[in-house]
Amino acid sequence: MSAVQKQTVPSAEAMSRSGRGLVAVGQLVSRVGPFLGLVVILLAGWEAIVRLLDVPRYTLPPPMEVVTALVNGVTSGVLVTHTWVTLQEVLLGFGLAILFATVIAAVVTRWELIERAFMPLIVALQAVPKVALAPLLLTWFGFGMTSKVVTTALLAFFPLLINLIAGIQSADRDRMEMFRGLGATKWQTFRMLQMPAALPYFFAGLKIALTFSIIGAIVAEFVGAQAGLGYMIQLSSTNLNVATTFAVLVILSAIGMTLTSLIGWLGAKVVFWQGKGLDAISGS
Amino acid sequence: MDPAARPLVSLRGVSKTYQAKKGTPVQALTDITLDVAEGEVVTLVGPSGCGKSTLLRLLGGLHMPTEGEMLLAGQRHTGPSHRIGIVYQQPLLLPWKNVIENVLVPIRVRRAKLAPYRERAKELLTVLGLDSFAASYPHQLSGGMQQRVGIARALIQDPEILLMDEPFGALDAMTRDTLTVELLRIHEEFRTTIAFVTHSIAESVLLADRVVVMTPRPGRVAQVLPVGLPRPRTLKDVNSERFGQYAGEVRAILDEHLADHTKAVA
Ligand SMILES: Nc1ncnc2c1ncn2[C@@H]1O[C@H](COP(=O)(O)OP(=O)(O)OP(=O)(O)O)[C@@H](O)[C@H]1O
Ligand SMILES: [Mg+2]
Repeated sequence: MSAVQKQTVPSAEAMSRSGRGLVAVGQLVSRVGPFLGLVVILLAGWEAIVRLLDVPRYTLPPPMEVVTALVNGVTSGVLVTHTWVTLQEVLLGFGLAILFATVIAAVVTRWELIERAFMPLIVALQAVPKVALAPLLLTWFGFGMTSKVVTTALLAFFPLLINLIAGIQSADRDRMEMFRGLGATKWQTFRMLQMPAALPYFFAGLKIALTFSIIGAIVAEFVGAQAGLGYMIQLSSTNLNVATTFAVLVILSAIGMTLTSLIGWLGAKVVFWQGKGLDAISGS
Repeated sequence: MDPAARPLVSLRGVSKTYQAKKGTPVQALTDITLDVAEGEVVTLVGPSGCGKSTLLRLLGGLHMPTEGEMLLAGQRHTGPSHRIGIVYQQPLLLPWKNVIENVLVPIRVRRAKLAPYRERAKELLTVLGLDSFAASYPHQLSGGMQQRVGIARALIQDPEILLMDEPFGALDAMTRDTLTVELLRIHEEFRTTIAFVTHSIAESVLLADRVVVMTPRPGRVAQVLPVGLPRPRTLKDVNSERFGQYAGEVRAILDEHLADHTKAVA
């Protein structure tokens, strides 16, 4: 009796598990299937154009050659090394931007005097095309990684700052008044109300800032570098090794997509209440 | 009002003028004199814009009067205090905190020990029929349930006076009735002093020991009408003849002053 149970229970469980697995696979296929189909069609079109029109490979290499360049670059470790350099620049710059933007947003929104003094400056600085500063930053911080990290941080900083300020100020008047009625200090109101209320804006800002970070790192490497994916793009295209250029682009978009979905996933976890029919937390 | 009961709140010639950044100042309240006794329920009715919310904000210590004096239990009332609980028209919950944490927000602000209040919060949630939702988040609750959480949050500090600014105004009629009955029950149980703003004459009579009828802007006290209906009261009382008389009186006072106002404006 007990032996039978021991046999049947796990097998039934295993069956339902594999059944669920099949359903999950089915859902996955129906979700990403159309996209994969499109990718195959585009790649086939690319290959066809290159062959039919006899495009020289230093103009546009066929997709298979890009794949080969990617595989070779990764196995030899060259692309891995350069990817790591750029990734470090992006993450360090991004991290610095988060740190500075958070502190400055907190200070600016805390004291009205400081806000009135600094907001016009922030708006003015935001209007400067930050990439234009990359050459300057190179002369200030040298050919090493520092100038790239600074450029990256500078580009990521502003969208984050603007979003954080808007977010902190998004806490509605009624809830602010409720905290006042509880006798909350400014700091308590900031910590318990304004900061959490800013989180949706913060994550929206993170996504924009991430894109800017990657642009920052690549542009800074273009201006002058000895390593990194931007450096690789320049090197390979000067050498007419366009397959490698494309391989680098593939890596860059993979980095961008991975980090963006990571932020999206984290954002959905943290800001779980967003868009769920509450009386508005933001004044808008 | 029972003459033996000392006034918990006293307003002596209180006026409030809002100093607008642009434009002319707005006189919201003129010369309000009003005593609220301990354990009493006072409802405030009046046309829109007559200063009911302003009066409640003054009582809550959120604004200071431009003239006159406010006393809370005999002492000058100068600002927010944990002896006052406020329920707003919207529940104003924090969406990132679950129900019990929302109820405990005032305690966190006061930096008091949480443990004893956690028990108290659970009791209150039981009283309000929310005991199984302690761990739920606001977005999982209906509007009426959210407002109950708002009430629990106002009661967590055992306030001496509960200020309610059209707390059921945003709810549908049925939920509104349920919560009104619940409030009557809470008052029976805790004997909390309540100042309650409403647009509904029926609500004002059903809840009140005294109905304070206000004039159109600038708000004055038109008349204070004692309601002698016995407690405990239920929704059924609404159908009684005496209830109808009280409601009729409130309506008459309102109409009279509204008519005056229209004449003055015209
Ligand atoms: N913060 C403020 N600044 C300037 N004027 C204000 C402010 N709050 C209220 N007022 C004005 O004071 C008057 C009274 O407003 P209040 O909100 O107290 O009225 P109310 O009786 O609560 O109205 P309702 O029934 O519509 O809620 C109104 O004319 C309003 O425009
Ligand atoms: Mg009002």
